Amino acid sequence: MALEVTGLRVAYGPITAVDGVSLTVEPRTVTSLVGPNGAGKSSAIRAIMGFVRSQGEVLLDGEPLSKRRTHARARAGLAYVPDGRGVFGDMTVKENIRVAAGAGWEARWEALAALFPVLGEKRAARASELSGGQQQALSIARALASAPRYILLDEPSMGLSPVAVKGVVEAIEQLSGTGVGVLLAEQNAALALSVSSMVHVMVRGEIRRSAEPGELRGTDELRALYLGRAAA
Amino acid sequence: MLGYVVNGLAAGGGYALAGVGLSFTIGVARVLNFAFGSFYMLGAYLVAYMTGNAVGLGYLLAVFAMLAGVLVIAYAFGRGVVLPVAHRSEAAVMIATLAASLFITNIALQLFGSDVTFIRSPFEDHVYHVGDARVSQQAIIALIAAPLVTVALVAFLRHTLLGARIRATAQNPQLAGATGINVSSVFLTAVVIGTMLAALAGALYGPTTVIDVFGGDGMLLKAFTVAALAGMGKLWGGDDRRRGDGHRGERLQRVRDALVRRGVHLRAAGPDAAVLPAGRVPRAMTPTMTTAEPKASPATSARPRRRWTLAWVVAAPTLLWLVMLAVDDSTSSILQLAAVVAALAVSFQIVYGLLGELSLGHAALFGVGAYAYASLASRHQPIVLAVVAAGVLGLLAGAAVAAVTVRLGHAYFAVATFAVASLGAVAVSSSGPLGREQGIIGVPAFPGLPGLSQPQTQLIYTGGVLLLCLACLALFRRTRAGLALETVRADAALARALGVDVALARIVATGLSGLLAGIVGAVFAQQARYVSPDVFGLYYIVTPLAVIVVGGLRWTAGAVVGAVVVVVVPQLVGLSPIANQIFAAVVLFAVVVLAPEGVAGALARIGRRERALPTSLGVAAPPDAPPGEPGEVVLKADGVTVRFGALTAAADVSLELRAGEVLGLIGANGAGKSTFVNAVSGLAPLAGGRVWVGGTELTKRRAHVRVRHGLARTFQQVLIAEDLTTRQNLAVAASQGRFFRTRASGQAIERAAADCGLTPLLDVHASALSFMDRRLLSIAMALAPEPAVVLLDEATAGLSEQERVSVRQLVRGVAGTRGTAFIVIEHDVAFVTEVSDRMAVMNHGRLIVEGPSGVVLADPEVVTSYLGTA
Repeated sequence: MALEVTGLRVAYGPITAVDGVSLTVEPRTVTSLVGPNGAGKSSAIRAIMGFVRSQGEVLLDGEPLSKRRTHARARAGLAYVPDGRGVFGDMTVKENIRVAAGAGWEARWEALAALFPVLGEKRAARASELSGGQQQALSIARALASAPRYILLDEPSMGLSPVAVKGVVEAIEQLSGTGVGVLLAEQNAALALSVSSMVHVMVRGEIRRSAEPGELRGTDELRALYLGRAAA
Repeated sequence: MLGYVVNGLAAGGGYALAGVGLSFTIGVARVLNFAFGSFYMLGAYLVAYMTGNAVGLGYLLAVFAMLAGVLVIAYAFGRGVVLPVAHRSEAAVMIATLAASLFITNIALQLFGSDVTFIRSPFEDHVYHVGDARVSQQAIIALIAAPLVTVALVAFLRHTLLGARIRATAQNPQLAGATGINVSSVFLTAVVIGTMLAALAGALYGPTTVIDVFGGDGMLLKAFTVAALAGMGKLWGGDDRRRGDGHRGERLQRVRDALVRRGVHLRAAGPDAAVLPAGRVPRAMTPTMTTAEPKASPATSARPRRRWTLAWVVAAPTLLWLVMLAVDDSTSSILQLAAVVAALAVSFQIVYGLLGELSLGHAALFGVGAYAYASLASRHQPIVLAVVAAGVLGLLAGAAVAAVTVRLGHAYFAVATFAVASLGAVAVSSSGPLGREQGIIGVPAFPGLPGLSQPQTQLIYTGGVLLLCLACLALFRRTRAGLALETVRADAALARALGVDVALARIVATGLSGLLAGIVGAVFAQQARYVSPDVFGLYYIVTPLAVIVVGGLRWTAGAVVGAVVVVVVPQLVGLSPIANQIFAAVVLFAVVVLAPEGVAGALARIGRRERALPTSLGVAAPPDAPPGEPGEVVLKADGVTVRFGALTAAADVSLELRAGEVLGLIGANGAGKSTFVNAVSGLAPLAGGRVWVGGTELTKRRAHVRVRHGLARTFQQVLIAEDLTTRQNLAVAASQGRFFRTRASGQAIERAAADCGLTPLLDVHASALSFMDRRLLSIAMALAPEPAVVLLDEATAGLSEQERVSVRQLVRGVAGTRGTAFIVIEHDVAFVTEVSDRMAVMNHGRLIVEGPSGVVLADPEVVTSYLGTA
């Protein structure tokens, strides 16, 4: 039982954004894709979610997803948290959850409000009125609301203040507690290292290095990859 | 008095109900449905038919039966007409629904005839006397229906799960899809609900008035007005104002969209998959670098083109003469009509084909010219004067429409021009001197030509005006003004960055188009010998559109081919007027869905495959000169601040740039680099701060003016005018977007091309170039106006290692030899380190550090900003 991605390839015309990426996400774990900008992390996540055409295989607990459209993949058990806080701005916090949860949403709401207290406090507020960090929490809760088996997070810390980033870290740590598997694309390597059990470093569309966080922490490897030779 | 108010409100109720339906469709499905009015008419007609003698149903039963029937038709319409084109441009949807509208109206004409009819409703017979007017129960029903339906709709949207899903889709379709919502189904539902509300409005308001087949057109405009006043918000479209360092997801989506728009088919290909643009010769991505031997002589010289033109100037009139001699009288009149329609289509092509704006008001300009000629000529004014007046009035009308709508988005422009045409019809129908509904009869024809019969003379005149329009189009496309228009069509932000005054371009295009349309109108009036309000009608709006779409927007001779298919063929076959229009509607729709580039596109694709491309020369390594002293300050930014709503994308950024310097601007994603560059180039509004280039303060100047003061830029995506050649792209840039050739521009073109190794590719269409050459072209376009400062926004995205070396050499070469200053935004830190003299780092909108690269990259704050904290 896992989310298996094999030979993922995404090309926008002559530009190959993702070139043969393979990885596995186990339930209850957090796997990260890190790397400098333009590495293809977001493209990979978006391809797995079905927003862009791609080659390669995506298997969700053995079910092939490659030929399905985005909403079918969502119904199969895949949830998505886009970069830049994906919430429905003109709907209230409660409605955001309801839209994702479908029938039986009231029960789900109680559970989610327990995990993310901010939801309970702000239940009647419009999503666009929340702060960046609160919106990100809502976005993650919304993804959880559809009872997915795997969640894809695309750069959740981007544009957030350091305090809000702490909130995001806590939210991610909650996620694996609920039993889902998490695939995280993050430019913020330190954040990714602190929450993941497995890290894949992507550069220019390929995975250059796969390791456990312990092996990469404190080395110059990442710094060299991000800032080039001059910095290392 | 009160009675009139109530009746007025009842009418308003009808419009309001329709307005609610239209806003729902637009708001959720983002579709401007031009067939909306037809559904209003259909609703009224079906109820009229069912309550009439043939069927004799009661009113209420008829309304329900009608709704059931319309549900089926609306579903078919949504699935068959809207969904296939919904993912394409707004123009495609507008055209497809317009074709559907023409289709439905003519089917109705065929089935129900053009006589007016009535709906028998018991509610219409119960009358109250309010004040001195009679108000029927039906009017009251129509009045309260709109608020009732609105309340019901709102309740549905707010309290049901399906309603929540619809709202979510309206706000963010992509996120909705990720939440498991089938977005296509929601779109379809919105279209169906919207059109059913239109039909319901027709059924409810219908009994208070007479029903006729043409009632729908007016209703569309009224519904649109209601929807717009109610705050539909900014209709999608509008100018592409660049938003700066947008979220990366959006940016990639934009890249993808841009590529898809250019016809790059994102097929999942086989294992060795370089995904190729359709129909293009594959070019290896390994560039030819370092050497600079001049290869073959320049691709085409001017001489063959002049020979080609000469051939046309001789052949076309000869062909016309021969045709005139060969055809009989009845064929001649068919050809005359075809020539007029084609000529009108050519004038329309200037606005839609060159500028890229869908104008639905051509009938108005045509009508203005026709009426001007008719009224002057029948009052015994000299014919030449009448024709000139027709042209001038057409020009003024066109320029006025453009001036008024200049800041509106594409959809608003389309509807506004459509409204002008309708306005024209109403204006002449109510004007006594212009003959009201009968129009003007007995319009004098142009003088006969010696030795020719009347039909022959008319064929010469109508064919002649067609040739005149074609010649104008062909010549105009070659002028700097014409090229500037094509850049606006490619991308408004690109055009501004090149110095094109977009607002003026729109006015010039529509004015010129009006001039030609007015003259065509005069020729039409004298050929038909009468004018009536029909010249402003749907036939003259849709048929030229169909002609252009079928023939091919981008092809000068497209109108001729299109006219043959859309006008000549059905007439020769002997179709009735109604069948004729149905044919036009079907052909238009088929072409929009299946072959949007028309006949011209198909031919071009065949032609292109056979031509092999010359290779570019690559960029020469810069001469080994010692780094000189940086010159005087060429760019100064002081406290630049940019806000988008609550987000401060750039905060108090200040820096200086000297001649010959290369400054690398780096920072994590979302740091504000592109936003800063957009603010400096005038594409993002400044919330604070000032900008100087050279000694001139540019803070408050519009974007297109800045290039004339020495500031040029490129964009993250490769923005070039795909349909122009390399030389033409550079020409617009070298003239700094002006509508005329400037003295230095010829040389500037050659120099910019030589810098980037593009000399052998000067006469190749930009769309055929390889990715690297397109990237180089966009940089060459920034160099062509000979700027003091160039802002390069992620110029190496998507390039291989070798290609990055070329770009680096290019930048260093130009900076060293010409003293041009560069700001280079990059994510590839290694590249930036090697190309720049010094670096600046942004984070969270602020400039955090500046200095030599070694120092900057070792700064702990910089490292943290890239690698992050937890």
